[in-house]
Order: sequence, then structure tokens, then C-alpha cells
Amino acid sequence: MDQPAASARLVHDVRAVGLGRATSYQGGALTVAGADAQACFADPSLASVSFSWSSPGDPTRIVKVLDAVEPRTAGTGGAGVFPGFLGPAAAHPPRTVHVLRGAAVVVAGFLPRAQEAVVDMSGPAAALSPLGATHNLVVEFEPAPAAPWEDVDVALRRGSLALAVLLADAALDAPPDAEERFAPAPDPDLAGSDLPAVAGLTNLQTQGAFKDVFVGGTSFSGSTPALLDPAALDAGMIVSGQFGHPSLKNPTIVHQNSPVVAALRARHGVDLRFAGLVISPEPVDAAGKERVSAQAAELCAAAGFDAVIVTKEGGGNADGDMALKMDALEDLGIAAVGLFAEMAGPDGTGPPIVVPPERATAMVSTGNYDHRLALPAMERALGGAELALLSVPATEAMELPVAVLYASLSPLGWGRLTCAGDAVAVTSNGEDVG
Amino acid sequence: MSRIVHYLNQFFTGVGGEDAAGMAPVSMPGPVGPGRRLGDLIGPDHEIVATVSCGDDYAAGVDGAIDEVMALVLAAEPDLVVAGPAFTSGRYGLACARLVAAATAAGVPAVAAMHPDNPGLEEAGGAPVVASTDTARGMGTSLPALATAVAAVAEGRTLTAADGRVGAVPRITSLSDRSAADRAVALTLKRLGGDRHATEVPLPRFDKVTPAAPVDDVRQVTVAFVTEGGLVPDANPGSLESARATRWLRYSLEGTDTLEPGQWRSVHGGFSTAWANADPMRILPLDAARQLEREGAIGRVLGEYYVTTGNGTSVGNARRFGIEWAADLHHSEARAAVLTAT
Amino acid sequence: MRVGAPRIVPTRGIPYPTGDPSLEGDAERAWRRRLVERALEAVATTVHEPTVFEP
Repeated sequence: MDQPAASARLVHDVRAVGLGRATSYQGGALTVAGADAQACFADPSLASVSFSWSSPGDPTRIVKVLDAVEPRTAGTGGAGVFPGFLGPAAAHPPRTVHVLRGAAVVVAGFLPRAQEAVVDMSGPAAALSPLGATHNLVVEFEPAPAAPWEDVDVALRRGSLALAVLLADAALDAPPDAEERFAPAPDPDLAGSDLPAVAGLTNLQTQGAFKDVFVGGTSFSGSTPALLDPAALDAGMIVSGQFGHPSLKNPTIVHQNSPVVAALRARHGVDLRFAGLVISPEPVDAAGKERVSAQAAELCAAAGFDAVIVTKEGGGNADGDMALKMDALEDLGIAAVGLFAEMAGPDGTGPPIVVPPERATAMVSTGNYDHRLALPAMERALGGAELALLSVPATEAMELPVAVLYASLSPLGWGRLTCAGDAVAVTSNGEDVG
Repeated sequence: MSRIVHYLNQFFTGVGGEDAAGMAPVSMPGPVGPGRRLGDLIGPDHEIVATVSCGDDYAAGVDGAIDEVMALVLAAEPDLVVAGPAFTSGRYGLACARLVAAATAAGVPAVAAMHPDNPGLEEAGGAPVVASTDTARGMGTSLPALATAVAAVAEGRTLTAADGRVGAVPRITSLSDRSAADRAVALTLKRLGGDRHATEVPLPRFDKVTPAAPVDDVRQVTVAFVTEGGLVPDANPGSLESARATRWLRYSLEGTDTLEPGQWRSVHGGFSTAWANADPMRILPLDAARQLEREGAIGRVLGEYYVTTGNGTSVGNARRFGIEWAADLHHSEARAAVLTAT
Repeated sequence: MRVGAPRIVPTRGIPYPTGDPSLEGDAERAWRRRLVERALEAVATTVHEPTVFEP
């Protein structure tokens, strides 16, 4: 890996959206031409694709949500973003990317092994998903007859990344609303500083088709833990193909906006030095987990980290990876903090964590999987007409556990749900929460 | 002035000891026994208007016992229910815990007191339980702690560890003003600053059992053999279930030196019972026990063995069986028990 | 061990906790006797936390 260098995001806010004759971005209004969008998804495994916008506050429920991508580009055609998917994985991902903030390309529909995930654009559940706050270009699809599902998945992924670039390209000539500049991690300007060196360690699920995560276009399965320049995340280095546990999903858009990296960057030079990022697979076998955890901890020690914030991907199985890594770090004298979703049952009295760490005891709660919420009826549903989970029309009022709400227990740390007490209770009295 | 109903077992209301443990639930006006001191401590804002009592065996073992107790409790129109202190008494702790869980579920604030090691503690659901000493010798310190907890619960406060709360605190989901990532950075800085206890998720507590002291001289001791291997006389006269057992049974070993195939069998549904049925002593090692008894290596084998089926047993039932076996064995001559587990 | 029982003697199989069908008659009985003796040693030993007594 190259020495990390400074990086920047040129941010263009999206305040209004629509479909139109040409794809354009003007004064915060993003318009997409249906034909341009269709072209991104031209593939023999897809019989048809349709596009709808859904905006925050709409009485719309999106079901069967798959991946979501934030429109980004470094130059016409992408110029290196989403390396490995749109063009080769270059040695140096682009250091400056344009971001259409407030928009997302969201694929919704059936794929095997995909657990049904819900996003409400209004009501009490809206604040609990990152997609509740974005203008979503929802991509619905029909697979071609006899097309293998793996091919459908690949076509959807490639198409959504291409569409994300297409949208961001429309803003290339617009003056940005904000320029965000980031020091490299590690930062040579703070090399001799007393501030503690704090890094992130991101675990990626690697369980094969429909439960896989890609780094530079390749599945991370079988890889060893590695340092990754955080700026590469901004360029779309990590793309999600993982469709399990809806509330625990780490969609591409959240990797692009890595919450832990953002939180560390915010304190860089203040009370810590943001020192870097390690990514690691999550092997399914016990021996693999142990091996990878030892490797990850050794890598962190070699990199000189004083503390590491560890995130996971998945449910109870992934807690095992978390526990091993956190304990391995502590055993090497590195302070470890982990983000965990709790599975404490509907009344909160069950044991919260399946496999907790033994010596690294600092854990952040991202909320209770089993907490139930009453959702109001909606006027429109995208992604499907029925919520298969309850066999009811998708627009109906329904009670659901938080477990079904897309990325609500965000293992990457996006969410504000917690079981840690003294915060506003999450209610479902029809008012927007928070 | 709020109305408190106090739950005590048969011993603390002065009815009797083990001999009265089968007593059905009764209600008495005002405070009784240690309730008088408790009443003084919580007055004048709160008054114990009634005391409900039940025998420990009845409360912990009879189906619907807690419902009967609750009926008496509710008849006294309480604003709050207090149970105990139960110290380390297992059946009493079980009753207190189940009562405060039931009261809370019925919408009446409740608080119990018992020692943190009391096996009944886990049955309180999300209802608050505060620590007491291990024996009634500590009543003098346990009552003031309970009184403070009563006042706090009456105010609507949620008790925490700082209030002496023990047992599981239910996890309540709420919306923070900061993302989990921001909270992780804050927690990291705390840990780097030396705070090794800060966490948003407490480590799980496993049922803590204080080990019994060792026996002085095994050669003098009566040893009980107990099992969850479902071993019963061949006809299964007690109808022991193969799974999700709701009962346990006792069968005599008097005058028996070996368990013959065909006379005994395992009804356990969780494994293949062929080996056990071919030789029942693969579940209960009676031949070895009798040999050791004859040689004087142990005093004697207890005249009965205890059995249940450990297959999908609910945690609540398993806990109750353990508490009841311990209580029973305490009253027998046995001073050691060997449990064969499948 | 995590279950919390203070004194534990591990045995050879779930369907035969005090047996070993791979052994012939007398050998199995002798093994069973040693198992029970080990259990008796355990109850005569002070422990402070879950402790395994290998047979």
C-alpha cells in the first residue's frame, strides 16, 4: 500500500429530485433520464428494470431493500471510483471525489438468501435507517427467465455502481456546496505527538454468494487482515454484496461514509490522532477466526496503534469474531472498543450478547434487535407489493421488530439506537422520533 | 401516603419453619414480623397496609401459587409490592422474584430483596431486586436498604447498581443524540484515560454458585445419587416426561445392589437410550457405589435417588428442581451428592 | 465450565455418563468405580470456582 496522502470530498447537496429527459444537476436539483439509467442495467440476466424516486417525508415504504450506493465520481465515467467494478483496481484510488450528498441509488427486490429489509420514508421508522434521510432512486427489477441468481446479483451491483457514477458525473461542473479535506492517516504532521493513535478495524462478512463483501472488486473471503487507506473508502473501495440480517446490514453507502472514520477524523489533532484503518474477513470456522484475530491484532501492534475501534458484520456468529479480536488487542496492550447490537428479547431481559469478549470489556450498544415498533400505513410501496415476512400488503400498518429495519442497528456505527440508557425512548405514537 | 403490601414467607410471619412450608397463601392486615421495622423505615409516606404470606414449598412448587398470592396482594389495593428479604433461601427467593415479576406485569410497581447468590434472582424478569445480606442475621442492614429502594421505586425511579440493585436490568432501547461511532470514540478516550469499567453493555452474569465446603471425611458421609438422565422403573409409574420435564421423582434404592436391565429404563428423549437400557448403571452407578459402601470408602448410599429428564428443560423449571433437591437433601442425612448428567 | 457447577468430573459420552460401552464387562465396571472414586475426591476438595477433576 502506498503512503496515505491527503484526500478531499467535494460535496454537492441534493435538495430535489425527479425523472426527466436528460440527466442533470442544477442548483441542488438532480434529474435523471430513464434511458440513461436503463443503459446502466443492460444485461442479459435482467428482463426489465424500473426507476422511482422516493424522498424523505414521502408516505412510502421500500421493502426487500438490497444494496444502496451514494453517487460519487472522480471524473467523467468515474475515473477510478469503485475500483475493480468500473475499471481496473488502480494502485492509487482517486484522492478527490465528488459526492452527491442526500441521494442514494437503492436496489430493491427479491434475491435468494436476502432477508427482507424495510425502509420507511416517514413515520417513526424513518429516522432509524440511513435511507430515511436520502432521496432514493429505487431500482426495481425482473430477472430474465432462467437467469442464474448469481448473475442477476452481479448485474444489479454493476448497474447500481454505474448509475451512481452517472448521477455524480452530472455535478462535476457545479461549484461544490462544501469541500471536506482530510489529513492522511497516519498523519506525518502529528508523528511525534503525545495524542493517542486510534484506528478503526472493520470486519467484513465473507460467506459466499449473497453474503459477501468486495474490496477493490474482489471478494474479501480468504484474505488476511490488511491496512487500508481510509481515503480509499471515499473512492468506493468497499462494495457490499451482503444481504443478511437487515438491521445489521453495512450497505455500500455506509462504507463510503464510514462512521468510525468520520468520528475519528472529527477528533484528529484534538484529543487523538486518527492513525489508520484495518479491514479483516470474518471466517466461519473457529480456527480461521482465531488465526485472523491474531493476525489483525499483530498488524495493529506493528502499526503502533494505541487503541482500536472494532466493528462487525453479521449477527451472533460475528460477535465471536469481535470478541476474539478485542481480547487479542487487549492482550497486546491495545485498548479495544467494540460496537455490538444486542439480542435481549422483546422485553429486554434476555442476555444481550451471544459471545462477549472476556478481557476487553468496553462495548458500545447499537440497540436491541428485538425491540418492537408499530409502523403506520403507507400510501406507496416500492420493491414489492407484499411484506413476505408477515404475508401482508407492504403498505399496511404493521408491528415489526427493529431487526427488520434496514441498517437500524448499524454495526458500522451510523445509528443512534442504543440500550445504554438516559436517551429519548423510542416510541411509535405516530410522531417522528428524534 | 402510598399503600404497600408486603410478602413474607411462613417463617418470617412466625407461623413455623419447614413444618409449615406447605402453608397456603394467607393475608393479614398491617405489617407483620420484620415488616414492622420496615414499616417504620418507610413511614409516614408509605404504609404497609397488608402482609401476604405463603409457605415456601407451596409458593415455589404448587402450580398457580403465585397467582393465588397475587390475588390476595391485589385485594389489598397496593400502590407498591415489597417482597422479602429472602436472603439466600432458594424457594423463598423464587417466590419473591416471581411475585415482583407478576406484580410488575400487572402494572403495580414492585421491589424484592435477596442475596445476589439467591438462585431465585433470575426469575424477577425486569422487576428490581436489591441486595440483602446472606442470612437473617443481617436483617438490621438489609431492611434499611430495602426501605430506600421502596421509596425510590415509589417515586418512579429506575434502580441501578448504585442503589444496590442486583440481577438482570432489562435493556431499554432509546435514541441517543450521538451516533454509535461518536460514542465509540468517547468510550475509547475514556478507556485510554484509565477507565477500564466504562461500557454501554455490561458483561453477562452467569449464575454464581458459591461452592459448598468439602466434606471432612468421605468415609462417614451419606452420599446421594441424583440424575437428569431420565432413569425410572421400567413402567415409568411417575410418568416422567421425555422432554420439557415439569417434575422430578424419587425412587427407593433400599436393598438394591444393582440396576438390572429390563427393570429400569431411561425415558430421556435427547439421546439414544439403548446403552443405558442395556445397563442402567451407565446412568446411575449403583454397583460402584455399593462396592465403596461395603468397603467403608463412604458411609452409605442414600436410600433414594432423585431423577428428572434434562432435555429442553425450561431454565425456570431446572432452577426450581435444583432448589428443591437441595432443600430436600438438606433434610436428609446426605452431605454430598453426585449428579450424573447427560 | 461456564455453566457454573463448582465440581465437575468429565465422562465419556452423553448416552452413558457412568459407562463406557467400548470396554468389556469387568473393565467397564472398574472404570465406573474409578469415576465414582474421583467424584468422591472432588467433594472432599475445597474449590472456589468451577473446577474440573479429570477421572
